[in-house]
This record gives sequence, structure tokens and C-alpha cells, in this order.
Amino acid sequence: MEHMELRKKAEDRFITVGFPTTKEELWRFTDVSPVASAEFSGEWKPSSLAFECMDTICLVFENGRLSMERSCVLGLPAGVRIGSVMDCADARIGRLADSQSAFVAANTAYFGDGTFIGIADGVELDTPVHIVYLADAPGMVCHVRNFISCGKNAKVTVVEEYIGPSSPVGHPYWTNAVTEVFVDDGGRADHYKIQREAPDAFHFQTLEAHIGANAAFSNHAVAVGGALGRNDIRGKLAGQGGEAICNGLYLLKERQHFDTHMFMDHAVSDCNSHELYKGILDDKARGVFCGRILVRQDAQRTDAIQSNKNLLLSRSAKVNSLPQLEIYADDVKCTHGATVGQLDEQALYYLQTRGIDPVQGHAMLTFAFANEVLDEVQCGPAREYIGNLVQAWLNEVAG
Amino acid sequence: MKIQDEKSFDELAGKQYKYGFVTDIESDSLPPGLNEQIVREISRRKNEPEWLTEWRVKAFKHWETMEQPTWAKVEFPPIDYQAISYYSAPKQKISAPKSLDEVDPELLATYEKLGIPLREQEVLAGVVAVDAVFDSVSVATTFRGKLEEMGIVFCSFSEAVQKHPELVRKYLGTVVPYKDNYFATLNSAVFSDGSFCYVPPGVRCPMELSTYFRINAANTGQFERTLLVADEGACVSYLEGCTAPQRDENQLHAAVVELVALGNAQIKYSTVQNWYPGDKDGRGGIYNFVTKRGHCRGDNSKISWTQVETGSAITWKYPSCVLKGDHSVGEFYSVAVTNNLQQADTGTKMIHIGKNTRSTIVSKGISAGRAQNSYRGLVRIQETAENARNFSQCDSMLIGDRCGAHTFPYIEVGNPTAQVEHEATTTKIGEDQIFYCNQRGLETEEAVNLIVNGFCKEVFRELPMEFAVEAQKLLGISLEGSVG
Amino acid sequence: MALLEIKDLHASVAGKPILKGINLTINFGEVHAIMGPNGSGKSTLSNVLAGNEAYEKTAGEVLFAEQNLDDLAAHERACAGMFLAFQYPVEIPGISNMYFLKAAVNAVRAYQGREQLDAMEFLDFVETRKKVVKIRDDLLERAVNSGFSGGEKKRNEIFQMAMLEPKLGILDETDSGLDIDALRIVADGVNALRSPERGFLVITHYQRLLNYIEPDFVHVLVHGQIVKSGGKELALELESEGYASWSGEEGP
Repeated sequence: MEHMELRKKAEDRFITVGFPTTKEELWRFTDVSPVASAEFSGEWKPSSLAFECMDTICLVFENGRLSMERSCVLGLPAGVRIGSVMDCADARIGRLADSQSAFVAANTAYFGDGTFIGIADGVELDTPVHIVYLADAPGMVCHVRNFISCGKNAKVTVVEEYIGPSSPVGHPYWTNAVTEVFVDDGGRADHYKIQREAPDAFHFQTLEAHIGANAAFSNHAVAVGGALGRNDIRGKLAGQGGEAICNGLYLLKERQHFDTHMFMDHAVSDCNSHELYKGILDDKARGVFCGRILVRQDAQRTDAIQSNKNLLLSRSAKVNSLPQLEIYADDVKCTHGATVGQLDEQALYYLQTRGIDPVQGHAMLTFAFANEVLDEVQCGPAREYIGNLVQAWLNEVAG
Repeated sequence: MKIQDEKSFDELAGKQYKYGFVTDIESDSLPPGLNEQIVREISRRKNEPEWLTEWRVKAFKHWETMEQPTWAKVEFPPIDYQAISYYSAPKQKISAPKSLDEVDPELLATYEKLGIPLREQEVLAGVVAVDAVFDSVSVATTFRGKLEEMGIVFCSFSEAVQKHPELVRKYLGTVVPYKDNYFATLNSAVFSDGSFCYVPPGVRCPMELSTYFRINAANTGQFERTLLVADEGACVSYLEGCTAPQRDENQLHAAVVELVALGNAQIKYSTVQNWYPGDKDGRGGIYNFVTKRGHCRGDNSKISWTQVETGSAITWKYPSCVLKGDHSVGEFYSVAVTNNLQQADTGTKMIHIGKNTRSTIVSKGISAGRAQNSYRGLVRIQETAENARNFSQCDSMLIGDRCGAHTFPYIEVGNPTAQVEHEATTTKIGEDQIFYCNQRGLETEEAVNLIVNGFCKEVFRELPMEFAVEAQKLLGISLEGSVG
Repeated sequence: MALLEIKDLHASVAGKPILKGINLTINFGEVHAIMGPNGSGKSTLSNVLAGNEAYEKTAGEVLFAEQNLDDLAAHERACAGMFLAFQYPVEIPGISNMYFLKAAVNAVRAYQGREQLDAMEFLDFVETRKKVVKIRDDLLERAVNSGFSGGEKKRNEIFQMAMLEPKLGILDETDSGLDIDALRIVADGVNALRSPERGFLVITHYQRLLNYIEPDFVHVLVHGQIVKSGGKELALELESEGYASWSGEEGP
């Protein structure tokens, strides 16, 4: 088996450091002891879950294992390789996700399958690649690993979707995913992540992106599922003229806890990064957003904007927002903002004077709040798909 | 923009800190070191009641179990707490001066040099009452008679312990408990003096109250403690200034300030902190680890912090407001300037508990040379805080490309009726702005001064007039040599 | 039946009395202009009529097509046929103008017991209304008023009025901040909507707008009361003499 050394090192690290505790700054607001103390001895089984195919290239995993029968990767153009990560010999696996946390270490040590996408230099793949992870095996752990390589001046769109049953599975399963993305000079990778795991599932993912000169990377993360979850999104702008967009939407209810940690590293000059994260929280849900922009000494003429906005629908919902700037270069334009609040009374009145009753006005404005993130989604099928998902969530909360 | 060459840097560095002289005065000090005996000895020398001695000892025992915090974005070598002397009092012929005539003339001369005349008739035309703290001991408080007539108690902390023990006991440690944090706990064990103020119900203090802190002796730490209580409907404005001599070693300053505002009371607390920042290579300077906190206990109370931080090698302070009373208001206005190798990690905490509580945060950080300047602030809206509002604006300015400016806000909201807004920007002084000023005949240094002062205007206008002028001058001095 | 009957209307904002006894009757087909200096209560009147909860009606009675306004919430007033063109139209990021209009048109239709328009019918309807009030297609696709210029916002208001076909159109200082070309476009839109089944209440500080929208009646509002009423010539009188003669002694 490949990557033996890498796996051994990661396992040692996982065993030494163990799961993080709330004493660590990076984990202050997210207690992972339910994961640490749970037993994951569930047996693999094929999944009976259905999913909506986006009319794209499609890879389907059942409880962490690739199912070729349900996938559709035929007729790929030259220069495009899509398949199991287990068949990928790229030496860069593990180079970005290097055991930053116990979760990454565990994934590196134990990953059993995942997706590999390789786009050769100059090849533009216009059809989105839809990766579907179906999970419904009680008590199982799915350490899935994805590796995306977008060559020089190449183009790729990837939609990663994690789907669980709409009711609890009983004995929670744990998805522990790591995705590494290399966007070489002049390349463009648009990445979408949709998380709608089972209501009692644990979902953790670390996404690492390395962005070359004049390359563009975008990530849109939508989270509606799971009992306890976290996205770690880390981008490194490593070449001049690079651009990163990291947007997200978390829609949480009941006792869901979802944490997003975003880190954007401006290592060189003349790069842009934009982040817009929005959260809508109902019932006793808890949302955490921590966004850190690091502008290193050489990163002159950096343009970085970060914004986190939250809407609380219930008296017991809670949100923690930590937008952070760490700046060591002087010729930069960096701003961040965070708001927590309610719907705009003025807008509600305006809608009313146009004949729209307050209940409908409320629903419209709540959708509008989320829609600002959807508007940024460039990929048509993804926008429609996510839009429906958001609408369904809002209907459920309203009803 | 060019960074000035080394030679002119040297020239400037020498003249930067004009308060860096040492006063030749005999002092009565305890030997360096810290143990329970020392704590008891401090208390004994100050003739304190037993409850206070025991409170100190409790704090000391708790401190021994604690570890120095590491979360702030500041770096410094480990502090040897056993090498510090925890008590230094200027030796005076008569044990406690009854009037200014009995104060050592050397001391009075020192304050003259600092621009703080203690003679009442000279004190800023009678608008400011001053309590001066030299090393660890309060040496003189002016305008006492006039204040006493109105029932206002304004004196040194030690004197308050003797004369108003009931007030001290009632409020001491109720805002910053002795277990609060590493430096506050250390202060609780060894604090030597400080200022005490009590404004009775319905009284508006007719003049600015002021404390001037001065560290003089070498190898001493300064651990003063300030307690300020505004009773129902009272109103007071308080100023605090600080200087220290220029020494090669670092000196520790770990103060605690507690403010209590009862119903409808208002407290305005302004600080101009100009401790010795160290030289251009980072040698010497004060470690300023300060815990400042105010409780808005009653409805409609208000506490407003304004600070201009230009000094100290390291600044670690977060003047905070606990907004417990309904409709209470907390404000924090801050300018923090760091140059050369200075490090500042400063900000505030606004804890909203009561209904309709409001808080405003305006922070301006300016970083030059190789300095690091961080804003760190917490806004917490608790479940009970119906209709709470917070607005925060944190702006950073960088001068030169070897410094850092950082923003670490923490926002926690647990009530859906809250509205919290945080905005932050980072900019540099525009070359076009400087050129524009140059073209209108201003030198670059003058231009920088002008632009930086404009950047800080929102904060300066919160300062009492006399302080605002001083703050502007200090800003200029602190940034000298940062651009060429 | 009168379209709008205002009887001794008093209203206050944040506890401060602003309107102090307004009496005004508007019949179907009439255009009334209310003119007055800043702070006279012009915007308060429009907001009280439209049902803004920040404005408190303290006394008096307002009948809209014989229905007491007290019984109607803001959206019900809109559905019953009252339209307010805002002085400062609200920006709503995240909702496209088209989506918003469809929701509004169908809400009004539902209230009036008419059938809902489906997507195709709605698009056809938009096309017919675009002939009455010209509006660029890209403005319809963008979020409601977001990033619109002052003129675009006002034009969008008039377009909404054309879509909702109200009985009474209230224009709250629609002319403010408009250049002469934008003013003409807005006025043309309003004139196209004039009909015997519809009335207008045009609130303005300046006579200028009334050169384009010719009123049947002009009222002067000072210190929360109508101090003079007359024909359109009153507007010209005001233009030459200003409000000075009223703002002093005659106010309370």
C-alpha cells in the first residue's frame, strides 16, 4: 500500500496529541468529546439512500466506499482523470493536510477511500464533477480523502456533497473528510461543499487549498446537517495574482452545533481574498465562525475582505463570531465585519406597503439574507440545487 | 516612504522619552522576593486590618497555583518574580505628611518636572484634584478640603483603608475578584497603594479627579490599586497619567482598577499611559499588565473608558464594562501607538446582562518601526440582555513595512433581539496624503502627525481638554523617526 | 363615495406631536398636492396613511374608500389599493425586483379575490406595464433598490405603482434628488396612470414637480395643519413668495 510512511507518521501523531479539548484556542467553542468518547464499531453496508443527480459527471460513495455501479464517469475528455484516491500515486498527497489536527491525522492514518481528480495543464473541464458521499451505516467512521489537482491554466468545478438520512440513524456515524486542492498557475478550481448529514451524525472536514500565481480558487460551503460538525477551510495564496473566494452558509436548528474555521494565508504580494459567511440559527442551535486572515510581510498590495453575518431566529440560539486580521505588511487593504441581528424593520415595512403580509415578508427577508451567498455561486446547477435546499430548510423552520 | 537611516534614528531615540530621569531620593524598600512573609510584611507596614491581610494571603496562595497567561500576542522573556522588590516607599522625615509642606521637596520637584504641580493653587487653575503615587506610595492628594465638603472621599488607598474601612471592605474585589487573573491576583496579594474615590448619592464631582503614577526606584514593581465608587446618581470624571525613568531593565507594573457605578451614576475614566517604552532596540521599558474593569450595577448607569496608550514595552490591558443594570451604557475609546519594538495587546470586554444595554467600542491602533499592535475585544450578549446593542469600530494604521497590526474580536450573542456590529479596517498612510501635505508646505513628519491625529480624532474628542492636548503631543513624540 | 377622507387627524412620532388636526377629502380621479416647508409634517402624513408603526395616530379618523384605516395593517392598506412611493426607497439585498413584484402583485390579487398570476402571465403583465412606465430590464433583475441611483429608485417606485394599480397613489417627495430628465420620466409615468378610478396625493417641497404633474387642488401644510387650500395657482404663488408668511405667526 502506498503512503505507508505518511500514514505511520500521522497515526503516531494522532495517538500522541489525541482529540483537542476546549482549552485549546482553536477549539474553544467546540467540544468534540462526543466524538472522542463514542465507539465506532459499525459494520460497512451498502447504502440505501437516494440522491438527486445534477446531470454531471458523478462519483458515488456508499458509507465511504466508491460504488462504480452508481457512479457515472464515462466519456471523460483527454487530460481528465477521475477515480478513487486509492489509485492515485500523486506524491503531493498529504503535503497540504499535514496532521494539523487530530482529525486530519486520523484521516491520513486511516483513510479508506475518496476521490481523485486530475486535470492536466491547459485542459478546461466545463462539466461539474459531483461527488456524493452517502452515509447511513450506524456507528461507522468514514475517513474519506479527496485530492484535486488542477493543472496550469486548467479549469475544474467540483461539488462535494455529504448526504445522510433525514432522521437519526440511532448510533451516530462519523464522517471525517480531508480534501486537498492544488490549483497551479493560471488555473481555476471552483469547489462546492454541501453538508446534509443525518441529524445525529458527526461531520468534520478539513479543506486545504494551495493557490498558484494568477490562479483562482473558490469554495462555497453549505451546512444544514449533522449534530456536531466543523469545517476547517485553509487557503494559501502562494503565487502573485492569486485569488480566493470562500463563502458559506450555515442553517442550524434544534441542538445542532456547527463550527467554521477559515484561515487565509496571504504569503505573497498582489493577491485577493474575499469571504462572506452567513448563518441562520433557530431553536437551541449554536454556530461558530472564526475567520483568520494572515497577511505576511511580503504580501504587499493584498486586498482582503471578510464578512460574517448572523441571524438568530430563537431565544436559545447562540452564535460566536471571531473575525481576525493578522497583518504584517503595510500596503494592504483589509477589512472585516461581523454582525448579529434581526431582520431589518424598515425592509419589513416596505414589503408591507406593497401588500406582503408580515409572515410572508419575514420569510422573504430570511431567504434574502441567505440569498446573498447564493448570488455568488457561479455554477448554475449548483446554485439551483443549493437554492432549493435553502428554501426547503426555511419552509421546515417556518412550518 | 523611506525609513530613516540608522544615524538619525539614534538621534531621535535619545530625545524621545523626556520623562526618563531618575529622582535621587532615599527609599524604604523590602528586599526582592515574594513569599507569604513578604505579603504579611507589606500589610503590617501599612497597618492594615486583619481581614485585608488575610485577603492578600488568600490571593497570594491562589497566585502560587496559577500560570502566567500566554494567549496575548506579546513576546517577552520569563519574568523572575523573585527578583522584584514588592515595596518601595520614599523615605520621609515624618511618617505621613499632613500637608504638602511636609512632603520631601525632591518629590515635589519631581512632579514639577513631570508637569504635575502638587501645590493646590497651581493645579491647573483649580479644575483638577491630583493624587500622586510615587513608586508604590501615594505622596500627596490635593484639593481634599473642597471635596470633603461635598462628601466626596478622594485619597490614597492606604488612607482609605484606615479612615473608611467599611467602604473599602464593601467594594474591594467585587469587580475584580482576587482570583480573576494571574496579574490581578498578584496585585491583590502585594498592592501597595493607589487611589480611592467615593462619590455619594446625587453628587456631581465639580472637578476632574486625577492620579499621577510614577515609578522611580530600580528593580521595583508597581502594583497600585484604584477603587472608584459612584453611588446612586453620582457623576465623576477621573484622569490617570503614568511615567517612569529610563532604565535598561524591564520593570513590572501590574495594576488593578475597579469601578462601581450604581443606579443613574456615571463614571468617565481617562488614561494617558506614557510609561518608559524601552529604547529603539527594545532594551528596558515597562511591562504594563493591567486589569481594569467597571460594573454598571444600577439601571441607567454609564461607564466610559478612554485610553491613550503610547508608552510601555508591553501593554496588556482590557478595560471592560459589565453592563448589569437595565439601560446601562459602556464605552471604550482607545488609541494605542507602538513604535520600535513595543508590543501592545489591548482592547476591551463588554458584557451585556441587563435589558436595553448599549456599548460602543472605538479602537485606533497605530504601529510603526518593528512594533506589534493587537486589538483584542470581547462583546458578549447574554440571554437576559433583551434589545442589547453594540457597535465596534477597530481601525489599524501601519507606518513602515516591518510592523504588524492585528485584530482579534470575539463576539458571542445569545439573545435574538441583540444587534451587534463589528467593523475593522487596516490602512497605511497614503503617499498621496503625505504628498498633498508636502505640497502645502508641511514636512513629512508633520504631515504624518497631522494624518495620525486625524485618524485618532474620534477618541481624542472623548478626552478632557487638558489631556487631549497632551495626548496629541505624545503621539507626535512616540512616532518620531518612524518615517523619513 | 370619497376615495380618502381625513378628519381631524393628529399624529406623533416618538411622543412628539407632529400632525395637529388635518382635514382633507380626495375624490376618485383627483390629484391633490400637499406643499410645505421642511418639518411641517409632510412625510408623517404619508407614513401615517400607509400604516408605519413608528408613527402614532393619536386622534381623528381616516376613511379609505369608506373603510376605516384603523382596521387595516400596512399590508392590508396596500392590498386595498393604497400605494406609497417612498421618499427613501428601502434597499433589500438578496431579493430580485422581479421576484419581489410577483410576490406583491399576487398578494394584492389574493386579497382582492382575483386569480394568481403564474410565471408566464406575470411576465406578460410586466411587458404591458413597461409600456406605461419605462424601466430598464437590468433593474428588474437586480435586487430591490440595491445599488440603484436616486433616479433609478424613484423610477422603480413608479413602476411598482404601475404594477400594483392602486386606487390612491401617494408620492412622498418623489421629486427630491432628481435631475430634470429623471423628473420628467417619473412625471410621465404618473400622468400615464391618471384615470377617473384613481386619485393621487402628491407631497412635495417644491412647485417644480407640479409643472409636470398638474394638480386639481393644492394644500399648504405648516406646523402640522393645512393652512391654505386652493387651485394649482396656489403652487405658483408659493413659488414666488415662499412659506415665510405662514411659518411664523400662524403656526401654533
